[in-house]
This record gives sequence, C-alpha cells and structure tokens, in this order.
Amino acid sequence: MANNEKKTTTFLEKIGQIPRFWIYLGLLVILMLPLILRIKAKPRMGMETKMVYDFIDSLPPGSVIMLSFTYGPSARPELEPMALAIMRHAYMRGIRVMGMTLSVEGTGLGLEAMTRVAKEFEEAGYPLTYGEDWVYLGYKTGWAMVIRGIGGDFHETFPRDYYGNDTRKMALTRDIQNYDDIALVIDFASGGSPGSWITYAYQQFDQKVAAGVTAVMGADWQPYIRTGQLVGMLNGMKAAADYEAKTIEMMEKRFGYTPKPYATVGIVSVTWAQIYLIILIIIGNISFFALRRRRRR
Amino acid sequence: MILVFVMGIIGFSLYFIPHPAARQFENTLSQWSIAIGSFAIFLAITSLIRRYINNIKRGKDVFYSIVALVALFGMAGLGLFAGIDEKSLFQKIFINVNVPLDATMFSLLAFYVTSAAYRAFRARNVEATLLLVTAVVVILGISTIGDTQVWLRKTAEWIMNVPNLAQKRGILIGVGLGVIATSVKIILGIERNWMGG
Amino acid sequence: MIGLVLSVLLSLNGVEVQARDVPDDQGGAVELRVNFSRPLDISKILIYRVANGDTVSKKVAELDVNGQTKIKYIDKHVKNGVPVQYTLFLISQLGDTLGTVRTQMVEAKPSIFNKRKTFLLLAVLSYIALLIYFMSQARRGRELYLRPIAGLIEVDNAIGRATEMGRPILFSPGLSTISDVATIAALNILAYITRKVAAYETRIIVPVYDPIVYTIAQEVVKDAYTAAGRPDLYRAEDVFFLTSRQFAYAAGVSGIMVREKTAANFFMGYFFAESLILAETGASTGAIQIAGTDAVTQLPFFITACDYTLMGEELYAAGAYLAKDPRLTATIKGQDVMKATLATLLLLITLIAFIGPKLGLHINWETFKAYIVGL
Repeated sequence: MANNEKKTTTFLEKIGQIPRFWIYLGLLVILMLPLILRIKAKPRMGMETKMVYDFIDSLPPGSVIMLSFTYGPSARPELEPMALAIMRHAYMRGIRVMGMTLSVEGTGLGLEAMTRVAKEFEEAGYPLTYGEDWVYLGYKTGWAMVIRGIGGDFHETFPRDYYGNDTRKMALTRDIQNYDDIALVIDFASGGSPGSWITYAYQQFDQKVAAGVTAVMGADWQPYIRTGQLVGMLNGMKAAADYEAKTIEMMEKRFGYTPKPYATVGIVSVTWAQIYLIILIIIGNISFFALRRRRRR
Repeated sequence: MILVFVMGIIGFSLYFIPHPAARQFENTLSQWSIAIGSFAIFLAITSLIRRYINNIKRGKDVFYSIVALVALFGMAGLGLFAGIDEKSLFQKIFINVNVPLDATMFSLLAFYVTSAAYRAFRARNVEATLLLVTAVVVILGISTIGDTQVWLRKTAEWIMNVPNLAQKRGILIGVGLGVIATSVKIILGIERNWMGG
Repeated sequence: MIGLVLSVLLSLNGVEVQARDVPDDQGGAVELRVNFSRPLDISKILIYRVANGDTVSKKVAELDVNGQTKIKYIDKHVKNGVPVQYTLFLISQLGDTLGTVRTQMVEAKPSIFNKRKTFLLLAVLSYIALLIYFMSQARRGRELYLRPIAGLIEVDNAIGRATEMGRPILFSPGLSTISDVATIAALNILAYITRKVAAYETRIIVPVYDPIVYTIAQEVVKDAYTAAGRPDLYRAEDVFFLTSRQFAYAAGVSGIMVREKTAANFFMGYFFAESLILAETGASTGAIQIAGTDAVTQLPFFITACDYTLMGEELYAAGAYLAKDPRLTATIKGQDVMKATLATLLLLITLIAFIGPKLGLHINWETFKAYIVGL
C-alpha cells in the first residue's frame, strides 16, 4: 500500500513539473499538424468583425476605401489575411482600394498583399486595373502629419504613388481631395497607430475608421467601438479567419475560384494549441491539489 | 529648464487652440523632432559600432559582433549603392531573412505563453481560481469552439466587454492622472532626473 | 471667433434653412441645417455654393432626404474669410425641382479657443492646482502617508543581491520614444538605481531601443555615477543603442541576459508583445525581476513571469517613492485625491443615467459628450 501510494504521488509530482522541452515539443506538434494536413475551419463571424463587413457591404460601388498597412513581419500572419479578405470583399462590391503605410516595414508587405489579391482576381478571370481599381501609395513619413495632411489636401500629401505616378492624373486618385472622398480607412496595425487615426482622422475630419489588430492589442481598442470612434474591429486571427472564410465563399460562388486560405487554416492550429494549453493547466492543477492533499496528511 | 517650461506650456496650449496657425506650428514642431531624431540615429549607431569593435578587441562575443557589423554595413551599403526597389538585393534579403527572423521571434511567444500559463495558473486561492476559470472560459469562447457553443462565446464577450473593460478604464484613468502629474513635475522643473541631474 | 448665424425662413412652405460658421474649429467649414416642419415630397437636396465675387456656383453636395425631417451638412471646403452663399435645390421623387432656397452670405472663420474643451481645461487646471497645493504642504513639512509598494521596496534588495553574487544588473527603459511619459518615468528610476549601483560598485547594463532615449540614458547614467562620487566606474559601452526593431531588441536583450548572467533585471517603461519573451528568458536565468509598465495588455505577462510588477500609475509614482523627495511624494497624494473625485463623479453620472429618466430628468448625452468630454 505504502509503495503504491509513493508511486502515485511521484507520478502526480512529475506531471506537475513537466520540463519545458516536452511542453514545447508537444506544442510544436499540435501547431504543425493542421498546417501540414491543411485542415480548414468554418468559423462564424464575430460581432465586431461583422460591423466592418456590414459597413463595407453597405458602400455603393465606386466608393473608395483606404488601407493602412502599419505592421511588420511579426504581425503578418495575423494581419495580412484580414487585409486580403477585405480587399477581396471590396473588389467584389466594386469598391476601389488605396493602400499606404505609415511604417517603413509595412512598405513591402502592403505592396505584396495588394499585388497578391490583384493576381487572384486575374486568375479568377476578373482582372483589376492598376490606377483604376487599386493604387498603392507607399510609405510616407510623419505619422500624424500624414493623417492630418490627407484631410487637408490629399494630392499634396501624396503627390505620387509608390511607382512615381502622378496622383492628380490617375483615374482612382484624381478626384480624391480629402477624407470626404474616402468612405472608410482601415488601419492594420500591430502597434498604436489606430489611436492616431482616431485622434486625427475621426476627431478632426469625421472620417470613418476601422482597425485590424493583433489579438494581443485587441483589448486596447474595444472601448473605441462602443463610443463609435471605430466602425468595427478585426481582432486577431479569429477575425481574419471569419472574414477570409466569408470572402472565399463569395469568390467560389461568383467566379468558381478558390483563393489560397491562410487564416482559416491557421485558426485550427490556434484552436488546437488553446485546447492543449487548457489540458496542461488542468494537469498542473491536478498535480497541485494532489500534492497539497499529501502535505496536509 | 526654461526651455522645457516654455515648450511645455506651448504644447499644452496647442491642444485647446484650433486655429490653423497653431496647427501649422504643431506641424513644424513635429518636423523638428524628426530632424533631431535623425541626428540621434548617428550617435546611436556610433555607440553600436564602438561596442561591437570593443567586444572584438577584448575577444568577447567575437562571432556575434562580427555578424552584427557585417549585417549593419552590408545592408546599409546595399541600400545606398544598389537601391531598395522591389527587385533589389536589399529587398530580397529583407523579405527572405529579416521577415522570417522577425516572425520566428514573435512565434516564441506561443511557447512562452504555454509554459508561463502551465506554471502560473494554479488554483492556490479564491482569486487564483477565479482567474483560472475566467481564463479558460475566455480562451474557449473566443476560439472556434465558441462558434459552436454560443453560451461560451457570449460569456467570453461579456467578460471582455464588462469587467475587463472596466478594469482597463480604471487603470487608464490612473495612468492618465500619473502622466499629467509627471508632466507637471517635469515642466515645473521639480523632476530633473531625466536631465541627468 | 463667432461666425455669422443666420436663419432664413423658407420662402418655400415648410422648409427652414440655417447656415452658420462651424464654431470651435480651424475654420474652412460652414454648417447647413435643413428642417422640414411638415412632410414634403422631397427625395434629394442639391447644394450649390458661390463665393463672394464669383459668378459661377459649384455643386458641393447631393443629399438623400430619405424621409428625414432634419438634415445637417458640413461643407469643409470653404476658404476662411471669404463670404459664401448657398443655394439649395429641392428635388422631388420624380426628379422635378420643387423649389430653391438661398441663404444669405456666411463666412468661415478659425477659432482661437475651442470652447468645447473649456470644461476639460478647467478640470486639468484644477488638478494642477491640487498638485501644487500638496507640494506646498509637503514643503511646510507635513507628513504624507503613502502605501508601501512591494516592487519598489525590493529594488534595493535586488541591487544588493546582484552585488553579492558579483553579477551585473540589466535595465531596459522600454520600447517607446522620449515623448512617452512612461519612458521619462523609467529614466527617473534608472537614475536612482544607477546611484545605488555606483555606491555598491556593481555593473549596470542598459540596452536602449530608441536613439534619442539612448542619448538621454547615457547622460542619466553618467551623471548618476558622478553624483555618487564614482565617475571612474562609468562604462560607456554598458549604455548602448541596441536596435530599433521590436523583436530584434527582444532577441538582443535575451542574449545579454543569458550570456552576462544578470542577477537582477528591471523592465521599466512601455512594452509591447516582446514583454513575455524578455520576462520568461530572465526568469529562466534565475534573475530577480522587477517590471513596471503602463501598457495594460502587457501587465499580465509581467505579473506571471516577474517577481514584482509596478502597474500603471505605480510606475509614475516610483520616481517619487525612490527619491523620497517630499515635493514628489506630495504629487502622489494629489493623484489619489483626483482619482477619488473622478470615481465619485463617475458614480454620480452613472446614477443619474439610471435613475434620472425615472425622475423625469433627461440628459442630452450628445451635448454632454461635446462640452464636458470635448469630443
């Protein structure tokens, strides 16, 4: 009896002190499996994501939206799928898209995202025309000055696009004077830039602003949705998966073309990892209670 | 200190003055700070180079120091002489080396969160138990599992939108008051540690 | 400046139009308000503007009525100081022009003071007056009680531990710029720690994220060593700019913690997602860790992985705590009084919002937001 008791306790002790190596290895396997097996999720759109979706859906064809790619490579897996999904939605509604960035890191990433969606639509048999359907303005230094500058005079703030074309001559941008001609600004950010857009674009120019943020930063921006300062928010990979699933479904129905999924595969990894985490927590607590009981005896 | 006082009062006043002249002055100040920042970068990079050269001379972390210096001068040289456009070698190295490295470091967070949660989430007392239960509900609620269990998602949303938001706002109010107090101390010259004196 | 407020009674029955300069702005905007006092068959309103001296009017807007009885439109493209006149064409459902309304001349003017922020200004000035009052009380020698903050009490112990172990201390002032008050608060703490470190002859390593913060941190550390009477101990290479990239900084600091085997780590300032990487790596080396940040989203990570954490305003109070200067500690008292005042006000407003309507008290929350909050 005494020996059995000692063995049980030792086992319970061990499961409460699993070495980091095994925890990390287990997590690695859990994360990799869905990606290797390409298991996709079918998520349902959350409330805040739906607010952004509904707003874009309500815009008349021909409207212009502006995307700000203010993120770096580290936040790319979470934020790029959001941007891709929103662009797909916009193009399918006949809405034109301008891209820009306030951070140096976002320059290449923003261009890559916009180019990727343009290529998807070309493969789907619905080619987009640069300068008419989409324009990439590139990076502009100055942060708050740039945001205020767009509200004052768009052409003075962005006289040329990323490729050096005159914005006064391109079909998409020639009629843009300021925020009055931009239906929505969506800031994809891994930092504090949504605050700048709210402070300068929304407060000073009544510009509608939405945000796409990493899950860690999501909690920071929720108060702004309740006050109406943000139209809506895409919060983390779940929101990216929600929006991506919807737009992939739309493209399949309309063009018979399926874009490559990113977030809908990634969210499965995230979900499995979350379940793994909860299992570890439960194991840790079982060990904790068992040890506490032994000590009390 | 007089400069700090004057600029502090001006900066404070600008918030309440919507006149275009004030906005223009604010833009000018922003441009000045960008210019000052540019000077500071030179000093900062000089310190960086000096540190790594000293490391090499002392035989400490020689390999890492050489890698750092080669990366610094290599990328700067590539950018200056071979351009930074889409198809340049600079962009290729950035996209194929820098981007994956950044993503790798960010990915470490997943592992660290797991080990930290495994270690920290123990029901030691009532508060810890409450924390544990809340964490589990929120983790499940905001994931795809919450899509199938609506009650879980609604509970998670309630937790995020009500108690979580309340405490955040409370902390933000405290932080805001602390920021004003610290700013007043700096503007009035009472707090001078940051000046080095 | 107060713009002209004009009211034009409709020459067309049932429609009232007002045109005025938008108050409390930087100018360049005129507000048009259209009120329908009775239902009319109007589907659209076309708005044309002509500037004084011009002969050609310009179409500025086309508004859908959609059954609304009150429509507001702000024209944001008006030149300051140039009188303009608006002509409104009222279009029926069938596309016919039912009539036109013309406003009198109105001029857009910039304001010098935003009156909507008056309450905010008064509130801030009152708070500043409160702080100055408590500072003057402290100067007169009045004792002010402050609750103990565990993290700050342990700062000396952490430095002592590092000294005994013969290992260096690491101090990270965060990843924000000097314009962030959290960074300034961090530098204040750095000054205190460096003076202590100089007295104990322990080494302190300060990797910095921002170039401007680096130049200031260097001065702070150098002067702290001088103030402690040990300028000979100052090592310029120990205060250095590391990188301005978030995860490269995390990787660099983690490497320093592991290679230098720091005995005490201080993370003070504003941090982003890399906070857990820093804290976990430091925990794995067995160092004692004290963190302080006002980044609410990073607090859980620091609380989990660090021994002590200063939360939010405790970071700002830390400089005063450690300096033990009565004038500085007095401001903490002022903060607490203001917090209590705000909490009381919030409670009152919440009660009014709930009970008010039942007592027949109706608050115009839009006006409240505009004039009290300044939004």
